[in-house]
Amino acid sequence: MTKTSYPIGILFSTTGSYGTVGRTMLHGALMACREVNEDPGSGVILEPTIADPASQLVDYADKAKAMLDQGIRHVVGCYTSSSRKEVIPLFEKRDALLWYPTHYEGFESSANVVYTGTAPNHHMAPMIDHLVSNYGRRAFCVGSNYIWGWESNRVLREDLTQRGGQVLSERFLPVGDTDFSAIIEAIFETRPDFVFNALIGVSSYAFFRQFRAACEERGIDQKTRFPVASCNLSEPELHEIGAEAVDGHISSSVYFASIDTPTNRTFVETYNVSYPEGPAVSAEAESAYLAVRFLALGLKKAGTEEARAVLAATRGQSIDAPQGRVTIDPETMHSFLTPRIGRSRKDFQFDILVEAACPVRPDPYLVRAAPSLETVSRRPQLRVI
Amino acid sequence: MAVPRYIQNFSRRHAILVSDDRRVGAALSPILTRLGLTMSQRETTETDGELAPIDLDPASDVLILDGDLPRMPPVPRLATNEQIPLAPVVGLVGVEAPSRLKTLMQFGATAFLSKPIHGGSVYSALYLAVNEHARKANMMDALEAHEQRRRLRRFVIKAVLKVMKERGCNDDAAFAYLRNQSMHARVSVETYCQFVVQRSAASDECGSDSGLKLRSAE
Repeated sequence: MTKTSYPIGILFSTTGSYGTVGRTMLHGALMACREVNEDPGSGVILEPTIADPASQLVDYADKAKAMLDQGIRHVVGCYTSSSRKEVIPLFEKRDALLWYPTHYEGFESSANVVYTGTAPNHHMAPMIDHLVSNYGRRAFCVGSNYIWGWESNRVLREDLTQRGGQVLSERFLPVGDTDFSAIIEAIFETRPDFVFNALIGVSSYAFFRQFRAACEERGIDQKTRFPVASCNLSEPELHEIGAEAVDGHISSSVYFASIDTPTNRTFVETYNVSYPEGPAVSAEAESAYLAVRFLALGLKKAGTEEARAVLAATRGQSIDAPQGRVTIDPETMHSFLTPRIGRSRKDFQFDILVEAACPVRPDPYLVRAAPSLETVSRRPQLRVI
Repeated sequence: MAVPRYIQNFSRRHAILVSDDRRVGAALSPILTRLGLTMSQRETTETDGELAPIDLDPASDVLILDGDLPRMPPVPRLATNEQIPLAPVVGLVGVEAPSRLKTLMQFGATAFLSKPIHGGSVYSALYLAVNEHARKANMMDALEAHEQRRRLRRFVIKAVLKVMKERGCNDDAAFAYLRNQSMHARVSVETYCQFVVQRSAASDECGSDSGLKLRSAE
């Protein structure tokens, strides 16, 4: 079978404050490129051009523009929502496609983006179910000060309020900040049932370490008294947290390396052999891997790299992925994914506590989950005294 | 005071697109479907192109009105307030001329959506149109209620004077008495004073109690 070569861009921050996650995504994408190129039936050869914006928001648009100027029509990339928002106008202007492989907060469906990461209904709803069933309804929220933190907290607050729960406090820090002493004191003062963490990168790792140490100083078992739940905690980040504070954290994701299926065992083994220096395989790596695989399928079916044709060819495509069956929703160009809840272990892996029975349809605008009216949280006006 | 609650999920709503351009409908339909809405299109060239109040469900419909129509169809208004359209209106802007924008606002648009339609701006436009429509309707209701109370203030003055004369008290005590009585009757002080004044006028005319009775609002 003759193969057609297509240039593609890979745009991940492999250095900087969230470089660890970026490197695992790069590895996932490159692994998929290699598999596609080696597969005689794939019909395409992918020629990746790699760029590293170094976790600097201002560099994303320049790097993406340089790729599009070279004639690249398809870029797999971005981790943070702010970086995605930064480059989308370029893709829309040039009618190119961004293949975005990260969990995000939803409320977007650009005609020039294919979303292989989770929508909020994949990661938020299962996590809140688990937390309310096992720990309680009083949350303390801490997050990085950008759209991921803001919107994740909003969704959590709405859902908890509907269930009669309460967000006791919300604190946001600039991306990269690592001083949590005041926030940790506030957690001890408010005594929540759990902490919801929407920090990213080094901020998140520092928080886990400092919070565990502060609890130990006070003789508190952090894992059981103040469990920390995240929707963006994966295996390579457990290594960054370090052995002292790694275990007992709740993560809501669609992929964990510990998924025990032949497809995933092969995926993890291939990844580990290919990148023995790490970082470890992660949900983000799998998502980047899937983005490239779907791109290859779309290019093959379309027979051209023209964005509209590839988009049309990708609608409804399915892959037996490491996490299970993944399908691109023709309506939203988001993915059907399988939600799971994991708890971190000392060996930097996750125990899978909860797993959806089948892939869940994406709902980026939460039209099937959220109430029509926003939920208003307020103090009761009458009290029994 | 009630906390304002914004509408954020438009699923199970219906968008009525009033445009003669089929391409607009083709572009909007998949975007609205993604947001959980259904959509129908009306063309002004159709014989039934005009919108009647019965065509609009204020609780679930959103009107998307094309500003490039040669002749805008009248938009049904709230029975209680002629200034507010029956359903939220999004104005589709092709030509950004002040005259077109003004026309769309006069037809009740509380949000604009530029043509060609960009998928990323539809949710924001709906959010603004629906919530601003609700806010304006609430504001107009509040204004109307205040206006009604203002019109009844003359009865309050008359009733205060009447009580001052009958009870030999000052205006503060008279007002406090009337307010207390109105609370017992579970009506506003203005309504109670209107009753007091009208009962007094009727008594003066008939020379006896006219039989007017103030009934509880409940």
